[in-house]
Amino acid sequence: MNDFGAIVFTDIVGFTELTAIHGDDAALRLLARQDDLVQRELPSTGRVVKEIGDGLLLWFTDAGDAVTTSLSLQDAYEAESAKPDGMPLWVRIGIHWGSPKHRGDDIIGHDVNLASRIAALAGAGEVLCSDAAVIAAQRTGPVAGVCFAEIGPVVVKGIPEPVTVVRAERG
Amino acid sequence: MGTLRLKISNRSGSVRVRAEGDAPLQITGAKESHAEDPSTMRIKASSSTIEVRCPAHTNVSIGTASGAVELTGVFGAVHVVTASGSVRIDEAESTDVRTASSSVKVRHCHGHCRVVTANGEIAVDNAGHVDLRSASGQVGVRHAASGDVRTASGAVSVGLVDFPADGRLRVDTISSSIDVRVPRGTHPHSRLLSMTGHVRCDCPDGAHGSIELRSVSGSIRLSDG
Repeated sequence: MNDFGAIVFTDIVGFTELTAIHGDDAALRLLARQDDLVQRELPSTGRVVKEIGDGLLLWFTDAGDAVTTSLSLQDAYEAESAKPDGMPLWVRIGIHWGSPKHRGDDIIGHDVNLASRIAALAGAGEVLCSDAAVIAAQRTGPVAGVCFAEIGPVVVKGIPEPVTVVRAERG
Repeated sequence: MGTLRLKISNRSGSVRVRAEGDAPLQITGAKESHAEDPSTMRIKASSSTIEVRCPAHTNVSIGTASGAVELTGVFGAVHVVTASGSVRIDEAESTDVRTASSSVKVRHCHGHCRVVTANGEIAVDNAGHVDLRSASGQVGVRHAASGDVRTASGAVSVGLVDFPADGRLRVDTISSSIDVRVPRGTHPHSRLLSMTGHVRCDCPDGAHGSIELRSVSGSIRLSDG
């Protein structure tokens, strides 16, 4: 049986440039800072599945928690970046709701791939969701303090029908 | 019925939309089109060019994989997502454009102009507020009242006209240069910071708006005129 849940991809924008300028040690410090912030914000319904380079794959059993945690992470990343001596921690985040296959602690499958594609559409500091994630998040009512704005149909490689993608923001 | 909204998707073909006056809706090249609700029309194709004629101020949402998107005339809210098709928008109330590698050109956006690209070039002629994100593509803004621009390695050039007294511009880059020009005689409160790049400010500090330019290693220049 496959469990339904929210698949969240994060990706640091400009990590290659930062590593080239400041070196590998600084890159490791930035990743450690990202880890700290994620551990601080992660609710009991979420977990880190794995690190993928400078990105993370997260799994949430509650879609609303996935959205609010992602927005809280963006707030934390922005605050970190705004420090006078802070390295830019610019992160794009994509969320999809689906039922991936579980392989040990890992998750794989079409829904994971789609979450990755959605993350790639986000700009630094943004959280984008599939419409499936938004529907799941709002199943029991509006998500407090969050508004969603549709950005339209997205043609995704390997998927026959366009996917509706939505921007989540504070509001 | 509210303002007309078109949702158009085309896998590899181009999308051309012309919005003018009270033009009746005309669609050519689509494989399928149907009304989703009284004010929303969904239009699909897979490889042919879709051409649409619609009334001015129509809202459009367009998704393509590799086809170019060309919007001529006056639109309401515009949303475009494409992997590699170039995007050109004549005039819109607001824009949200996302591309992987293609160039984006916005001639006139009255309100919020958001563009996100991985390595495409962004060119905005006129906008109320720009919100631009690029990983490695260059960013050029000829005129804007305010904005927030962020690139990893794409050079940024911004010209501000009629910068309001409460205007705000923020540009952040990692390794690329930043060049911002304010109207002659404008003295904004400015904060320029580059960790290792050259910083040059040619306009006196004042209280007319706020400009913050930050780069990790790129050079920064703020000038007037």
